[in-house]
Amino acid sequence: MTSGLRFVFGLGIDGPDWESAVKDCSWRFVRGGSELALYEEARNPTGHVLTAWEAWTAYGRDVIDEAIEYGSAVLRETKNATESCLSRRREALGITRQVLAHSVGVREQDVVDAETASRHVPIRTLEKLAFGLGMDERMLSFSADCGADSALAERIRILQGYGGGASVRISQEDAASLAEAASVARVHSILNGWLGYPRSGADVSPSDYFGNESGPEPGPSARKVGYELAEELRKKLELWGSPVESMRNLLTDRLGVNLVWAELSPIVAGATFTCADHEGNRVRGVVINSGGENEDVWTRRVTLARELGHALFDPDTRLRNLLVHGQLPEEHPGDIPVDLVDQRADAFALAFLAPRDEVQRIAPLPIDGSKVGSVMQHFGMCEAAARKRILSCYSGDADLPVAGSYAVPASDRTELESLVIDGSVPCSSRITRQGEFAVSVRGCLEQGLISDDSAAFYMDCTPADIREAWIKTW
Amino acid sequence: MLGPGFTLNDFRAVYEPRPPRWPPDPVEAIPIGATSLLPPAPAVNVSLGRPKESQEDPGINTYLWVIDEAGIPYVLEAEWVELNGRPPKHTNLTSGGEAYVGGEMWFETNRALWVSGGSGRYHPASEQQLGDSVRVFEDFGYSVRSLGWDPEQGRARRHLEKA
Repeated sequence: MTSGLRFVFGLGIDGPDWESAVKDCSWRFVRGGSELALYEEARNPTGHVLTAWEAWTAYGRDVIDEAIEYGSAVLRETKNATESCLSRRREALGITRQVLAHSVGVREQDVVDAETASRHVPIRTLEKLAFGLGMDERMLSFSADCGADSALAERIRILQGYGGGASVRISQEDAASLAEAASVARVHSILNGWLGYPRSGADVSPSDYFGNESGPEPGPSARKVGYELAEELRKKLELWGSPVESMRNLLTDRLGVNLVWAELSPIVAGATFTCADHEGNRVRGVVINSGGENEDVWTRRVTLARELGHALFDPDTRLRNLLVHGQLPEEHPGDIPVDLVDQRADAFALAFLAPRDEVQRIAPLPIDGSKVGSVMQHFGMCEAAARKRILSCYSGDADLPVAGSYAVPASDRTELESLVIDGSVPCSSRITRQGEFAVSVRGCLEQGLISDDSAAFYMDCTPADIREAWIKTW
Repeated sequence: MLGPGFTLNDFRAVYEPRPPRWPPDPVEAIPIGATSLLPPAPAVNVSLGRPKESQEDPGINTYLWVIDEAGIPYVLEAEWVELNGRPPKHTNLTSGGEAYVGGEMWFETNRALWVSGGSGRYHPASEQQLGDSVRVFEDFGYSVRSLGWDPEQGRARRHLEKA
């Protein structure tokens, strides 16, 4: 152990409880574009201030030792590490500089300057760009790919129609939102790990079984498999026949799913993705469109349930890094999605929200408009989903009244499915940073694991906003 | 910063010597001999080198230096490693005592230097002090290029931004 490390962290740094020594360290570090230094307020540094824990977990002991010994540590891996990484990533995602600038809230000229190194761009702006591109902003200049998942970028690019094969074609703006959502999910996963929150409370594993309906010895359909997965999960969660009170809380609190809200094109309902962080850990996340048809709470619940089905049960090979979905198709069996992955998830969603026995109890044959309404009300699902579920519970042998020929109840449970957990978001933060993500950021700030600079960065506001909204209230 | 001809004594008159930022271990205070004081240009028997540009290009033949009451002691890191099996510290130049400032340097030629304020133990207190250090080296007859100051860190930069 060097004398410098001992000076900053104390004797405990070389013992078995070195993590505590780092977490308890009151020294801070400050990040510039290419270097990391020990922070001293009197020097008025303008870079990104980090806690010792943040610096240590991002850069490791050797870099910290160098920063202490020499005043700063040189982070940049190669001469043009930052600029090449940013431009390569943006092009891999298939988005223009203009779209990126608008997405992250900087000037287009800043993007040009960052990608060409034609003039100095502050580290705070560089980090915004990296985060918005789905990269690990801590790794900017430090590692060649900045912790970016190239497979996810390629997938986002394909979904814009580049190279064909996109069933739901997304816009460049959607691509930027999805890339940012991946960053939010990645950071959320890291912060929850630091807070000691469990990764998943479901005790379920992905499954590559989608039935065998068309095999030589026909077995269950993908839909039937979906129904069974839903029943199994309900049992594990001890929901039994009860309606799910809040899908949002179920995903985030009970199942530990990274849930991100985003403003996407109306055609996009939601998406499930998987990406790798810079250490190669796989992170899964669900992105839900805050607008479009999801503005209706009951439709939002169905979207949440479907993405949950993908997040929990689709193996990585099926997710192909990112699955984007439009709204549920209509109820007629002939219109069911061709893709088995979607079939299973759609069926899971309906059965998870509305277990079969309960549907038959609430809506015995014959079905009239009021019974459709009862199913909607009881389970908190939109009309299209309720109709589809009723049909599936009677194996298609149910005559439903024509849609539009009866009155439907209005959505409720708005509070329970609200995008914002409470009023504690420190400023007009972007929608992607609200919800459980904000709770985790605040938790880490309260425990001194992240700096108020970092909290402000993650919440996309200023340190003064953070102090005003959170720190002053402690 | 004063005008041309900013001497070592001028520097000492403006700034205060200070102890190292933290107490050194005993091996970190082992002194280097008096012959390791930077002479007026041209330097003799120096290893030519260049500063670090990135992790991939870590530079070569880095010297540590300080300004103290004796003058400008300096040492080639690589040579010290070879002799002692570990890198030198700035406190080896001062026997663990006080100095005005410290950093790193590289000899581009025996008359031209690259200089940084890269020292955790005797880091330049300000951009001005770093600049004044450079003036002292110039007063010794060297042509000097400084790696400069990084306002984002509030410290001297330790890598060459652009060659």
